[in-house]
Amino acid sequence: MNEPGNDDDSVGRELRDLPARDADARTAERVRRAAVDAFVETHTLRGRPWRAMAMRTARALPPLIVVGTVGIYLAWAISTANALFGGH
Amino acid sequence: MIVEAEDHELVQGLRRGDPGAFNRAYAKHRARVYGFLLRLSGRRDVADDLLQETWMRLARAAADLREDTTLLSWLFTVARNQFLSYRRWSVLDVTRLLSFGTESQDTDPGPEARTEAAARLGAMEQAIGGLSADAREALLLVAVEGFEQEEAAKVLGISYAALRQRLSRARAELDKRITTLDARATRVQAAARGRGTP
Repeated sequence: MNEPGNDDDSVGRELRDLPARDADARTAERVRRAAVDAFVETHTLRGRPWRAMAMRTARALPPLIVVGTVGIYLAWAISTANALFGGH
Repeated sequence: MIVEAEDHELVQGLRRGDPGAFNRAYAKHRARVYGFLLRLSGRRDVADDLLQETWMRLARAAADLREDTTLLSWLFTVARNQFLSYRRWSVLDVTRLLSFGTESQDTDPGPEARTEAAARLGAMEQAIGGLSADAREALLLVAVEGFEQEEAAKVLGISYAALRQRLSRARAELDKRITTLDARATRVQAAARGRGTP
């Protein structure tokens, strides 16, 4: 059995010599930019826990508002329907 | 794998929050991580997404890296975990079902496969793509990416003995697939020659 990695057979050599498969330039640049932004943001927020918490809250707020509004509306709709038809 | 001096400096820079160090790490290791993900998944769109997830993970965890972290191993471990996670979730992905049968492996070498060497390269990529996921990741790490076996075992989260077993199986499976592909290519060539002669 040939040992992959340190073998001297032709298949082992072919495996070692497979060409690099890189991302296309646009994807590579898009990923780099997004990752560097996240890196800088993470590092900036690291020293300021209050700011990190504020940002997390700001991110969580819109979905919470939507869920709250839908919940209140549903409660109102059910109680109104109950008041109108519940007695009969 | 020995921690290279340059990688050690990169890790220091990442821990300090130096964007220059992040850019250098990206330029140095991106292609290898991408190649690994592409050969693991067999799809360029998936490799693109997983590449981004891997580097975003580094962006968020950079300050917590240990000083003696081997950056490349760390990246490959994260990349592999991202792939496993993708594979688990992809079972529920309806778009995969819709595109079933229409997608081809992006490891196809394309038109340049006209030459014999390129055709051989294409056959090798195809053979790797046909291996089981366990065999493929072990073979890619050790035989293609040149990881030491101990380091590869750490990346895969398995014992050294288990890795050696996987490698043996992978290599046997690969040899079998290459033989099959070679035989098929010979038959196609013979048929083409047969059609060419009056």
